[in-house]
Amino acid sequence: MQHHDELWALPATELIARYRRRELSPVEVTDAVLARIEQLDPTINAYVTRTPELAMENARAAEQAYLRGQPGAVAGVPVAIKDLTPTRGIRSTFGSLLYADHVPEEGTPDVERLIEAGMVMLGKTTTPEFGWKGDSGNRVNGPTRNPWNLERTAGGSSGGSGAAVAAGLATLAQGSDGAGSIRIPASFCGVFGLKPTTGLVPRVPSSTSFHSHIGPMTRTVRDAALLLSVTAGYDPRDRFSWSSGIDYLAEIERGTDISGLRVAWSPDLGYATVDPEVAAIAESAARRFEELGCELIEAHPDGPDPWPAMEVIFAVSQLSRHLDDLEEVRDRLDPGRVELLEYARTISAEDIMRAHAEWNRQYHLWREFMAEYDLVLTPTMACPPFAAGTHRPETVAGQPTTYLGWTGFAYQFNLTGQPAASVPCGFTTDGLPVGLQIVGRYRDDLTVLRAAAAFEAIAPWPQIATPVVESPPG
Amino acid sequence: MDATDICYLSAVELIALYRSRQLSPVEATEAILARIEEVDPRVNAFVTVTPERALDDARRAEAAYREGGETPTLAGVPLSIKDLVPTKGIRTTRGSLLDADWVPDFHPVFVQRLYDAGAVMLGKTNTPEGGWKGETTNRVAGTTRNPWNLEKTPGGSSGGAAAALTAGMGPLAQGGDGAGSIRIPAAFSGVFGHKPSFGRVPYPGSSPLQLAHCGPMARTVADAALMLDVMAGPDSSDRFSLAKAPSFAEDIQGGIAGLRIAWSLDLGYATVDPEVAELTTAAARRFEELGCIVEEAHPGLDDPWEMVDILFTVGQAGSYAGRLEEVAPQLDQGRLRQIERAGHWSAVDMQVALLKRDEYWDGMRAFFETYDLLITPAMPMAAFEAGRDFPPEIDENSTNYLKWTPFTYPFNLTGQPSAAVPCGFTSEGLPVGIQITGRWRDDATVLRAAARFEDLAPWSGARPSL
Repeated sequence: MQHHDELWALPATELIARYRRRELSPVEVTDAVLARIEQLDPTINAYVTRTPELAMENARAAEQAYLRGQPGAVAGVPVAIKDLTPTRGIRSTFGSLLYADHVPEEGTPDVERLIEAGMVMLGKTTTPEFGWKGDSGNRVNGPTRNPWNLERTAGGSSGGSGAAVAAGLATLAQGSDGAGSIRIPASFCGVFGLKPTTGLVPRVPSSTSFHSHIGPMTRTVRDAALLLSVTAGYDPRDRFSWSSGIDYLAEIERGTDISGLRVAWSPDLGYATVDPEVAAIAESAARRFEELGCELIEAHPDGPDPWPAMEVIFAVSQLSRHLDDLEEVRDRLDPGRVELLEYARTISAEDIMRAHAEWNRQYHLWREFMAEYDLVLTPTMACPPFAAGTHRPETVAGQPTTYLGWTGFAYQFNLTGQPAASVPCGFTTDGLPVGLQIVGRYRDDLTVLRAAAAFEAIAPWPQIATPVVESPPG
Repeated sequence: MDATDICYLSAVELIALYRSRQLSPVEATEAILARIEEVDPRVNAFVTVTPERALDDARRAEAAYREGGETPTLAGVPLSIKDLVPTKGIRTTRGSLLDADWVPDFHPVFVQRLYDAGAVMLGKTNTPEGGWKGETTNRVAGTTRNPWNLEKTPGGSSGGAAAALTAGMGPLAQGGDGAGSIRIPAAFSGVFGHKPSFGRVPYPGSSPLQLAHCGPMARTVADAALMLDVMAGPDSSDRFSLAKAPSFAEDIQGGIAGLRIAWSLDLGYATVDPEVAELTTAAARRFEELGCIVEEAHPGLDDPWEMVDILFTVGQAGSYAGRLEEVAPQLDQGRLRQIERAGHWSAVDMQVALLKRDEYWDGMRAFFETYDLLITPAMPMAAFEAGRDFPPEIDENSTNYLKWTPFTYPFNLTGQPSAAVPCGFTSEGLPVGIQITGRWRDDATVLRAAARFEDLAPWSGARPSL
């Protein structure tokens, strides 16, 4: 907390308030964040591509906008974009050697909206190759290190975004989540992350990535509400996108009373194996919802682990990157991912239809369950962060793990499409962050944000990791 | 007004007569039930008729009108539901021997909305098995015939729905459309059918792979708009359901002057019967009389049949995953030939199709930045003989089993709103239709354009002699 007044540690809502009062300029803040990046990022490796000149240009434009009295919603706020998102005119590697020098000509709707709203573009954050795993090692620039413990992973696939926000290397970061990829690094890095409802933030291409959702990663819930408000809403390029018509930040500012909500707590969703220390920390955090006036009931829907369906959906989505050239490019791919692609090639069209049928059953199973509950709480992750640059934890609670099977709390809601957030809720005895997952009804992202803000008010978390480079490991 | 005249009243007319007490819902329902008894043995539009249920509904509506005050939107209006749609307590065969005795204990929310709006439930209309083809024959209920010529098909898969409308067996019919199944029979039978935007009418079971849409079919545009008002609107049972739109029934009152309309006789790849070409070209030109700018143009995209083939065929096969051999003898053998192909496709084929579908969507979306509407023939030919799987030009073993519907399936891929509108008759006396397609989610403009065309060239007065 000692860094609280540093410019790079201030939340976006605070920056904007001070910009408006002319107490602070976007140029000063951008300078401070860029200096922080220069100091720490060689160690943390949150960025694959930095855009300091563009950032300063954006900052100067924002400064003018405030002087003219016409600033956009995030004018002058330093933002990092995950490198799985193609950005017009800025190198976008997707964590892959195949795209190490790729500069897209087209951008995406959410980033266009951020540009329009005056963001300061800091650069692109590290991700595993095409987001294939829950760590952010890759062959272009990885791995990203956890600011709380540099030996550990920042998680993935939005690991660069999680680490950047945690260490004060960005005020806001964009992430995307196909099987937990916002919530895994949010939990591991001790920041807030929201995977919104399917389609709330438009994304392209839509047909092959329907399980994957773009969302905010921030240090405060209000900042996430702000980022979501700017990026959400229908865009014709994503025919499954939709508008909620809600200003999330304004709604949170109006109040965070969640008393009277019926909240289900599940330590395992009936199928997950969880590290006992993580389970205990998450459970005591969940209990605090009683202090917020909620009725807390231990419950989960009576369904199987949906991993078999998720594995098919995730694997074929990865395969869609290499439909005709796998043999040709195999040597340049991450060998761990090649195994996944080999498996994907054995999947039939009928297997996909069956997985989609299960996907649909999961939606309805949870829809019926959520008729009884406003929210569901679970641990976000089954374990604390594991070794940086590896593919997954070797074991969880003594049990060996499978590919992404250890992220069972997370991928469940990629299938149902429900909004799901991770809020920091404590630390292990080793000093590693633990997250609590808050899940809402389909399309009710607001209640998730409101509950997270209510929890944040009674259980505030450290805003900035104290990276070890300032006091090197002994 | 004789009993047959009552059967050919529109829903809008029925409601006006109910309100002014010139006709009662019970009288209208009795007339239509009598009509079904009289003509349906020849037409075979219904798999299951529910006369007792219909009369109960009608009496309830009659009481509501008698009490006065606000009556629900469709109080006393008889309608039918396609037999692919589960209906609680009413047999639902899905056109399949496997479901010949199935009585579901649930139905989708749009059925409940129609009931809650006071509609009179007439029964379930015929469909080929699983809605697999553009003709309506199955092993449960046999062949539905076209009331304009009983030797011909009314089209499919909502063939029972269209034939019921044409023959005066209810003013409203619900249809479903996975590759053209509302628009094919609407065109072949001379009625109006609207495939709404994907998600406009919530339907559980929707998935991102899905091509199917549920929508209204009627003898007039105003009736379809009224029915769509009741069916549409968000519901948690469908992840893709769209937000509530303003009333279509009100919106269709407006004009369409100034709209930019693209007219294409072939989308760059279709072959159209000369007589159908002549009738549809003349119809498209009439939009100039309505103040529209009509230009000959199409998006320049290749025939997307291969994408449709894999998505539609694998979807058809999905119902029998893991038990196809076991059920094969009971299936429609023409359909079996198609769904047996599903096992040969891989994940790569599927992902290629999905990525191409996204590209196709982008191409179509770009085209609609220039044009408000795209008009084409609804079908490239008039109705063919009933009982065949495809028109005679297509060989029985062809894998192109729906390729003869080249104008309809593109808009199942894109989810755009698309309606079939009657525009005349061939020299043989068979109906021909144009298709009006709008921007994604802009059902209102499609319906409004159809309504203005209907003003110029009304069709609902034409009745087949049965």
